Amino acid sequence: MTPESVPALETRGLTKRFGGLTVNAGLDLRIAPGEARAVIGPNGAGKTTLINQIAGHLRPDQGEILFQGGPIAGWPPYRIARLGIGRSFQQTNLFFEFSVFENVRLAAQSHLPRMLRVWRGAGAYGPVNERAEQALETVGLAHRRGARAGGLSHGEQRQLELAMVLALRPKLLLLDEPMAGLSLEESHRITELLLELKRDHTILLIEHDMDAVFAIADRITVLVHGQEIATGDAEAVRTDPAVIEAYLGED
Amino acid sequence: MLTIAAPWARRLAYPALLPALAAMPWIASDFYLGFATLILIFSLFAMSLDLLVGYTGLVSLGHAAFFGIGAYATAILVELEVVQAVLVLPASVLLAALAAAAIGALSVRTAGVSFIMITLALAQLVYYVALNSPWTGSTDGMLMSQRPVVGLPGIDLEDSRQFYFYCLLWVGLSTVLMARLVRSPFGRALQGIRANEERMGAMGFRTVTYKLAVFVIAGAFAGLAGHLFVSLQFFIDPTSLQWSASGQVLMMVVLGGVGTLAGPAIGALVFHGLEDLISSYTQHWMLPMGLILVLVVLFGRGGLMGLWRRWQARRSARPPGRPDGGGRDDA
Ligand SMILES: Nc1ncnc2c1ncn2[C@@H]1O[C@H](COP(=O)(O)OP(=O)(O)OP(=O)(O)O)[C@@H](O)[C@H]1O
Ligand SMILES: [Mg+2]
Repeated sequence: MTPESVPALETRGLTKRFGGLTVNAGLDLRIAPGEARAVIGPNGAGKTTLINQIAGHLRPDQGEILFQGGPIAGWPPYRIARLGIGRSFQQTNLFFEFSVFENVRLAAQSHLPRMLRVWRGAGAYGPVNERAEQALETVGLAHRRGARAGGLSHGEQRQLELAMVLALRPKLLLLDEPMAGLSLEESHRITELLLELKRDHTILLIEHDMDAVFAIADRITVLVHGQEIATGDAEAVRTDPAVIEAYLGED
Repeated sequence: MLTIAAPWARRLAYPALLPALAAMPWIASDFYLGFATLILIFSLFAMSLDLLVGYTGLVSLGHAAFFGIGAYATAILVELEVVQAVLVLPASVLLAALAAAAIGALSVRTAGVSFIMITLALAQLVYYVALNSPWTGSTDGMLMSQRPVVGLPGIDLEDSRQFYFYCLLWVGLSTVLMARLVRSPFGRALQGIRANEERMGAMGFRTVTYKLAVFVIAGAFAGLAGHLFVSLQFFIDPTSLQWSASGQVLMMVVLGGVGTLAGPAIGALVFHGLEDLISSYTQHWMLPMGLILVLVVLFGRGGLMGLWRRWQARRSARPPGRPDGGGRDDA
């Protein structure tokens, strides 16, 4: 990235408080196009709150959020999603009563230009089905397309959570702990997948699994009590005394 | 709905229904033909409400307002000697849709109990207008001197058989439209909103617009039901758009089974059947009716349709709740 190029995502002085608690304290992040940035930090550091503000689920108290140079802070989630920002949820957030396929098909359907399509059946839109099918194949869930989402294993639900984001075909992925609660083998598979997605996506990854973080992230930001205490590549962060003291030292 | 459908009911019951409905004027006595016409009308009314309650998760307690507006519009136009059905029907439906757009615009941003209360309050406003406006005959209501005129040779809606077919045509067309709607991308999005509105927003759906659109569509169908109702009865008064009327149509939906189209139609039939039956023994028909409703809600998850489906599932070889059999996406 040349210094003058426009970041894919930028926050300036992003601040969020809940009552007296400052959860994001003036965050200045610059994520270059194509970069994979991990945000790590202890529980309650404000990582999910950061994603919630970028995705429009929370309104910042102060500061700016710029996507490809344009301000988006305070926009409703649907507008942000339409810009090409896809988020996944830390707490699996599916349509539990619907089939696996319908979960991704709905995500893919959000690209249909007109809302009032009331005549043809939902299954009759070829491009939507293809997009959904592709997202399922990418995460390795195609064989479960007929299952009820609520009946999937935890690992499969995490895969579906990711597939629903991919079916949106976003440019920027906001992933909130995609590997939470996964087995070692499942984590490896998601790591492989994210390494692949990295080639044509900008990624903001929140993750506690440090092996995954070090494998995927180009740069890492460490958040503690809502403050950014370090940003750098894996080596710089791993050896930063403040980071070791506040976070990595725990393990 | 995105659940498994009763396997053979779909293939047998529905095709058998049509000839039965078509033969009704020759099987039924005048009294029962009138009753059948009423059931058709209330089926439409209840199905339209289920678009909101069962498919979108919008529990409206003001749906009778649009039914009432459709009915009053028809009565007023006929009173003004605008009797052609080609004018009266669209005008009634349009007015109901406009009212739904206004009430929807004020209510669909709210959820849960607030939504119930706001729809209730705004519908009561419409009720007070009907009660106090010089156009509507206040508490006495309005008598309609004749039914709308279709204006095709040989067709006369004053004949109760022909009027039955007039209703069957509109209710049938509406049912086909609604059945397509709930399976379309738009309908799937509504069901997504009911299941998880937050996720729909995160996926780029502007959910309030969807909710407003379905509120207007449901209001239009309710207006059509109102048009048919006043034409059947030659009479409309404010009780038809009171909150208790909204409550009753909601009961039909819940009784029959939310989230299906057949359910509300069955609910309309059972509700009116029970009302007639019980009121032939006692004038306090609401009490036993209330008890029956409570029982259905407590024990029949998904209303009568839910009971029927579970019974079907038990009868067929396929074990119910097979881990990956549910949620076929084209049901
Ligand atoms: N809606 C809310 N209202 C009040 N407090 C909140 C709200 N959301 C989060 N918090 C608080 O803000 C702090 C940061 O929460 P956040 O979810 O952003 O942390 P996190 O870094 O994602 O933690 P974890 O690793 O456990 O997911 C926590 O103390 C949390 O209790
Ligand atoms: Mg979190």
